[in-house]
Amino acid sequence: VTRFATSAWLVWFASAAALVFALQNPFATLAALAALVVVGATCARRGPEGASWTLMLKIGLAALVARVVLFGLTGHPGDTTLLTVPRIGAPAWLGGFSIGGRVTAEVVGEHAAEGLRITALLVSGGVFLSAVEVHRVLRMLPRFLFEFGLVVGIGIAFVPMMLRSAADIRDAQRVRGHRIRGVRGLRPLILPVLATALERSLLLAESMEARGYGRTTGEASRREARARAAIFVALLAIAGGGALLLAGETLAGAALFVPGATALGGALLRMSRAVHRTRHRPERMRAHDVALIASSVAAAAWALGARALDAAHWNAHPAIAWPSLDARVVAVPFALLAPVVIGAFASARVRRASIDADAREAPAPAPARASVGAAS
Amino acid sequence: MRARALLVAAILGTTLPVVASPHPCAAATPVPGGVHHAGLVVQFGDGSTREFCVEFADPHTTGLDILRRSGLPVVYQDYGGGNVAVCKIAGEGCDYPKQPCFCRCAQTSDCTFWGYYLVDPKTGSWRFPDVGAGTHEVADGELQGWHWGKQSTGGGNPPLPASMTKVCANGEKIALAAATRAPRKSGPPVAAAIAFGAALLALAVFAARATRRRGEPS
Repeated sequence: VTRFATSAWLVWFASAAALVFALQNPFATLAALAALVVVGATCARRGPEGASWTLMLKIGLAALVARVVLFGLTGHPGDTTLLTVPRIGAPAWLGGFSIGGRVTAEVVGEHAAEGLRITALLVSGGVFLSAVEVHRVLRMLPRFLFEFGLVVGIGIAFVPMMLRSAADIRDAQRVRGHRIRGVRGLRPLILPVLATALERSLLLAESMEARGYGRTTGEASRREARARAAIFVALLAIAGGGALLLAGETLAGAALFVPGATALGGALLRMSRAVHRTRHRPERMRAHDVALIASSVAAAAWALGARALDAAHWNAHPAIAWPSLDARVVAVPFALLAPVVIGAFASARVRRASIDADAREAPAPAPARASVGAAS
Repeated sequence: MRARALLVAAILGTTLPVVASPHPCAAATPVPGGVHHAGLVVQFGDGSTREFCVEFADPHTTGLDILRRSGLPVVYQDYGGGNVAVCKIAGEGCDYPKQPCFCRCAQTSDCTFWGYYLVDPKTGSWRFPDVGAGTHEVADGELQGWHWGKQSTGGGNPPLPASMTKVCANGEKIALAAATRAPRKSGPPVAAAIAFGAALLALAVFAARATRRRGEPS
């Protein structure tokens, strides 16, 4: 299986999200979801890290069903009646809503389409997280956020450790004859898990301190304090300017917003320069990574351009009708299959290259046998 | 166990009478099953108006239903739970879904949309209702107005003054039997539908095979 660089996956994910957002035609959403499922089934890592996309798919589909049932029972606009269920009303002081009555195909169609789009968005994120290693994504953060990335990375690394220690403790208690009964029976499990987690974090803190983490000289820490103060003032200016802009005070808002944004950018740039980091085993961009990035960008650009077409949109109301099957819209989401297609080409090339290398190293035995045959 | 049963009983005891009580708006219509009238005034951006006197029988008829029964083409956005926003009436308004439904709303202070108003039975003047047209159940003899113009979140720009008697005397009469249905559009071409279905099916089979192959120990 061909591995893609994390940045290539990130671009693919952004293009998938843009595509689902831009093309609201339900057939396009369906095509995108099918493509995402295929990518998830082929490119996810093995083991529990590679299972998040199936979880996202399940969550999305469950939300879709809940959404359709809830809105189908509470909203009644639309011409096409699917079925009529008994109606229960609430009094006006409770909002006067009613459950039941006419269930229309328009409401069901509209909210099923929307639920499908949300599912596709969730699955695209799930496939991304299943295909990449999370610590490599955190490494891509801008340098001034590196403390944040470190904290998140430690947190993510702690979750599987905690799960493992919880399983160990449960096994140990079971060997001692403990049986979990009700809430009170959980106490002998939770307390040791908490104690181990605390112990582990203290150990981590000690080891980080021993390696000199967070130690700065006087001048550097003063510079950082100045940068933090600048960021705070800049954020205040941006918030105030934004509020003024929203209220319609264009000139005063811009006078506050633009310098604030400039100051923020400058302060973050300075902080980035102050942090020096080296990379352990940096990822190299290879030809298939470039191909994935190029195809993803092209697909997203096409989808954003296709928003001008009528076929890219669909409104079930007031009378439901089939969405358009215009190929300029409906065929675009199949471009999300790029990791599978490019991966297959790349691994075929690698296989061919290794066969060629084998052939060069070990000359075929056939001529030898032929010469023996000629001698006899 | 017993505590949980008591809790369930308490919740049911407090909510059931509420849920089972008849709908208050249903009580506003005196003869269930009879024919009622609702007035409708639609005022366009250029100041021209259309007036309708609409017959209806269903006590759960909403303001949106009355507008649709007038026969004017209506485009609206469904937010779920019966909440809708009317984007376009008879060609005036926003081209949803290609445009946002509130396409003429750059800021809250400069917002042009189809405002929905009801005549207050006490004062006889327009008021901005606190529920939308999709959830407001129309009472017999109620006059409602739509106005394409600059509105604030509390309304503030109703149609010209009107009265139910005048609207039902001079306006276009919509009989109970008149159809609401919008014209149907034809479906996609069969060849394209078959090709698309085949592509989806091929992807599904591919995904299933990939999953099975990965499940096996390598």
